[in-house]
Amino acid sequence: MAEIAFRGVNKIYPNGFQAVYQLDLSIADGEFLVMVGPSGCGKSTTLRMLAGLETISSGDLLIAGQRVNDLHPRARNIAMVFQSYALYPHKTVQGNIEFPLRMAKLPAAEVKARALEVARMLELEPLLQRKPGLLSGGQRQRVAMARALVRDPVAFLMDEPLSNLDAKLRVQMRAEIAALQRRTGTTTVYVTHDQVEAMTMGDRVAVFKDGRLQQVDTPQQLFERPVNTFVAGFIGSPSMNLIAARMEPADGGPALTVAGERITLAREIETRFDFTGDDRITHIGLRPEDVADPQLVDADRRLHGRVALTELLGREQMVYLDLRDGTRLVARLRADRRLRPGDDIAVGIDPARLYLFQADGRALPYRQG
Amino acid sequence: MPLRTARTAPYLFLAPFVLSFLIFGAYPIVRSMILSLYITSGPEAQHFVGLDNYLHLLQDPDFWTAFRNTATFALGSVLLQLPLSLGLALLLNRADMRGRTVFRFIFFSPNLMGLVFSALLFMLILAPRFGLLNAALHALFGLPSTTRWLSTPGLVMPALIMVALWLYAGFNMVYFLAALQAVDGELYEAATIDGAGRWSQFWHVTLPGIRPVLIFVVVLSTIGSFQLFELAFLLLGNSSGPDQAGLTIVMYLYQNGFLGGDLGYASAIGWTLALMVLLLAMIQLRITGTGKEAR
Amino acid sequence: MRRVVVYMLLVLFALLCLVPIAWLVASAFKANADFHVYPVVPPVDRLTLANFTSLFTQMPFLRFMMNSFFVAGATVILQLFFSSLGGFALAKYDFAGKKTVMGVMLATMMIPGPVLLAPMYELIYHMGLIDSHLGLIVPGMVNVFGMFLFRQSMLSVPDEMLQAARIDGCNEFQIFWHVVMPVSRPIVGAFCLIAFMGTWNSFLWPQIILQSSDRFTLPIGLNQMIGVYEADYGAMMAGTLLAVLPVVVLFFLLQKEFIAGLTKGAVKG
Repeated sequence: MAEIAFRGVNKIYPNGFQAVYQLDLSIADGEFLVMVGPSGCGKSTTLRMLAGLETISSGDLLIAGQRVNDLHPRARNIAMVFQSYALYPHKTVQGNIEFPLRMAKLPAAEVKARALEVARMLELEPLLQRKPGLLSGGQRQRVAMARALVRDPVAFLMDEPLSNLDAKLRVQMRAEIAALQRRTGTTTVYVTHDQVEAMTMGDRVAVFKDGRLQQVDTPQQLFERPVNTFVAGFIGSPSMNLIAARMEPADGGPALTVAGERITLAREIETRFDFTGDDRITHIGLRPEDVADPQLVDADRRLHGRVALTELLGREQMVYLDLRDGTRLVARLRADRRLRPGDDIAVGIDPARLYLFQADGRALPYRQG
Repeated sequence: MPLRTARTAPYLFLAPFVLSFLIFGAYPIVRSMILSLYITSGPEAQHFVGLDNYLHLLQDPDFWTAFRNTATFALGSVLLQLPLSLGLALLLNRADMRGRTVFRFIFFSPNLMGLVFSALLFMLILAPRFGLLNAALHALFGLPSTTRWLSTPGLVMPALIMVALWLYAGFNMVYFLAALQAVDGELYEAATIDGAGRWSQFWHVTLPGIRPVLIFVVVLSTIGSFQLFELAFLLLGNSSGPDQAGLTIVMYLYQNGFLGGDLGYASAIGWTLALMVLLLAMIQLRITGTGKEAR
Repeated sequence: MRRVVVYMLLVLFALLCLVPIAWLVASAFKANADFHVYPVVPPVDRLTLANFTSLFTQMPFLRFMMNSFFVAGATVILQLFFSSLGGFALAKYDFAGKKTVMGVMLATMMIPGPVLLAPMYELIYHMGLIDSHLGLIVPGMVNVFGMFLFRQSMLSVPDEMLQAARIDGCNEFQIFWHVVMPVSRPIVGAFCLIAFMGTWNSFLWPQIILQSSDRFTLPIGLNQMIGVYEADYGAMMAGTLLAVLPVVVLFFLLQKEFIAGLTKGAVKG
């Protein structure tokens, strides 16, 4: 059993900089967890604490129920794939893959057999006698994975392993890594700054910002129920529109003042959110793809603005609108509607697609169901 | 117009260098080959002997004494030098930035003193009765304070090796330190995770990583050690020491050529030395260059 | 290894390096009679400057020093000029025979110095330069190592800089003097230090060439003195101390450039 648990873990560097704040995170056995966030958010530091390459300032780290804070990396039985692969340049591919097993002092025959097996699994057999310097980026990446795989560890740790590859290769390797993980069933903790990678690969995704865990959930939940403006804006491409707004109760249901225009929401909004009555809404969130055709909504649910820019994407177009108060709105509309910069148009808001955020950035809590 | 001057410019720029090189570099090389076929008395009188000088050399007991001494020095020096300077570099690599700069300067300062002046200094340090070394050994370890380092045949070489160590450990350490810092830190992390202990990391990551510099230092040190002269000559008071225990090949060359006036024989000695050095370098490169594949 | 142990070992070796030098300094101020009494350090009240006075009175020490400065200074300037110019030509120009020139020079670097002593002596003799400072400076103008050092460093000067200078109307030498050399200042510093040290500490060749004591450089002069004034240990140490100072001062000024210049070639090659 290889569950991993961070309990109140902090990381403070000697110069006083705190990289990780009070981290509570549990990873189930066999789960593929992705840690994502912008540079400097603490995800790599967390991974390195898990590996044992960084010390833990306070809190507990448990692997399989055992507190491992002071356990040497070698004793944690974890394997790691580095961003720059860290292949031993003077050893052959075979030598690289065999290395961890040799360090574990396994019998030579077994070392050779297991290395061969893993090499076969990753289609590295023809390259066994080559040195890393003569391999392509993708090949090197697979050798790094092989070296990790061969150990049959309790968990795989991967630190942005795909960021040095070109886009096409990245897409291909993503699928391969995910398939590999499903096949071996090993717990995997994967760090990336690319939210697309996170959303497509992870069973669950942990979003970090400035050393704090913002939300950990399945990709779907993160997308549909972000807990704050950061997660809402981080997940999904292009980013969710966040527009300043005020909400007042009115007859027939709450009403929003958005960019100087009044939008009625009716009672239906209360089925999505848990209103406590004390809530002070400061922003609404609307994804570009959720901006509706104004014909499909009531007149009192429309926003008006002037087109600043359009980008044609084939069947659809991205329209950049300047609303009445100057706020920029990005909408993904059908391409058959001819628009030019300077045109004044209206767009519709579907309350079922709206997100409400408070002053501190937190989203209004979602109703269950 | 710029194009024309650009074409002649390199030739003009190199001309002074090439000229002085031809006179003082190329010509002497050729001339010494010719000289080695003569016996001379000073630079004015010479007569041709063909390869006699070389034949004589092969049977010359003094030459072989010189060779033995020089080889002993080179062997002892390199074998001790290497772990010492590498060890210092490894230690210094773990120190912080500021400490590193300070220590690096301290370790390098013997080299700053220079060969000649250090030799003069060590003449006194190694003096039997009031020398620093004997006094220190006596105070720390109770050893006799009258060891005659430079007048006991068996102690001359150890003393020379010791002084050479003092002089050059810091110098080689600088090379090693630079090489160590060029090794990718992530490799050590990967090795740690792969279960390699300190020694395994040294063997599998550090050594392969600094291999070019290692070879460079070994070959350079060997070549340098074989040309030992000033250190021995000065420490032994402008002589070859008790029982010629400090006679080196270059010293023998000097004695024959410039005290005895036989420039021809001196040239023959010189070329023999050159051949030995070349051979050694090739052997060393062969051994380390096609070394075992790191698995 | 624990940090403490690392530092302890470093300090131990640091002491081993410094103690002889400290002893040198102490001995320079130690009266001759005290050498047998206080093998390490004399008490402060017995420190004396007598050694320095006897140093300057017993032999032309000042003369030795000036000779050394003259020879080293002239040699360094000449070497600097020739090596940097030659290195520049090899780095930034392509011309017929370039590979041959480089090959031949590299080959000669592999020949040990002692081989050249006899023919050089003959040559200098026939040039009438025995027992002269020119006999030291002129052969010393050639510094193949230095030329390759400059070449290596100048390779990394962007070609665009040279082209821009050409467009601005500089002739080739002006490019060298006004563009490339200023940019190469660190390597110039390193080279000057290396060349100065080499000449300042040079013994074998001056020993062979110089015969009159008023021409002696410091290493030759000091060494001779030991034969003559055997028991004047204090003066000997005082002389050695003074002889070492110029190099130390120069090193202090050029430390960073020196280390960088030394290691650039080795780590790459």
